[in-house]
Amino acid sequence: MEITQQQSDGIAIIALDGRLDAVTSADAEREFNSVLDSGREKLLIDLSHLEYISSAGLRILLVVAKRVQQKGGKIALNGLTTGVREVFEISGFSAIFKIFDRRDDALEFFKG
Amino acid sequence: MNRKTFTATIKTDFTALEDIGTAVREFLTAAQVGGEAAYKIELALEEMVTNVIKYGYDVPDDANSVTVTVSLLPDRIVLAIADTGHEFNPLLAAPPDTAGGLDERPIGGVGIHLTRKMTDAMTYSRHNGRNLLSITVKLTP
Repeated sequence: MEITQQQSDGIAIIALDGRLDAVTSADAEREFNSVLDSGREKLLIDLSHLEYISSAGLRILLVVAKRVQQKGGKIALNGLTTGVREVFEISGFSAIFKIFDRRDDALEFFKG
Repeated sequence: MNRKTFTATIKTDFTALEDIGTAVREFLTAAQVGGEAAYKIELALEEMVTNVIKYGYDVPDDANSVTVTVSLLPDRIVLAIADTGHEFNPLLAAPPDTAGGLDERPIGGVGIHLTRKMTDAMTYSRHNGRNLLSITVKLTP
């Protein structure tokens, strides 16, 4: 699992590359928490290179989304691959998150 | 020549789960099973073995183990998981409410639900102090 971070107009963009599972989710949670602890309130999570997610990965995303909401911030996802999309639909996570195909469309959402 | 069966007995910890996940992926790749079917088997393996690791045994012990078998048939893959932990039938687990918004959603509780929805059949039996779970994923030609 590779986690890349960048900033764009006050939005923290976090790209996950690889697998978000029972083994890698602890690393991802630390990374998300450090971004939130640094005061960021707008998070775009780019999943276009995430090939696999399990319930352990969903758990981390839900924890992050709840933290962002408590801070009055905004969170969005983009680029769900086929298997990841199916997991989101079955678990009802498609309805919890704002999800965009392209990163540019997601960035627009933060401007609104 | 492709092997048609993979089997391994592992300790009940997350390092062992990571290793067997990798081994099963390699087995499926070698057998040219990828895409959706491979995803479903990987997910079922992770979710079900995670439950055994977390809840199957009260006391951590090197003797605690899970046996995983993946059988490749012409039209389907069968994943069998056997452990000697507490009796637990995932087919009887209440499904989570997946309709709620962010505020209503509790943390966790979707692993069994995902596994049941993403695979084609699941059977459970308890035999000689062992939980035996068999999960089928169909292969589409």
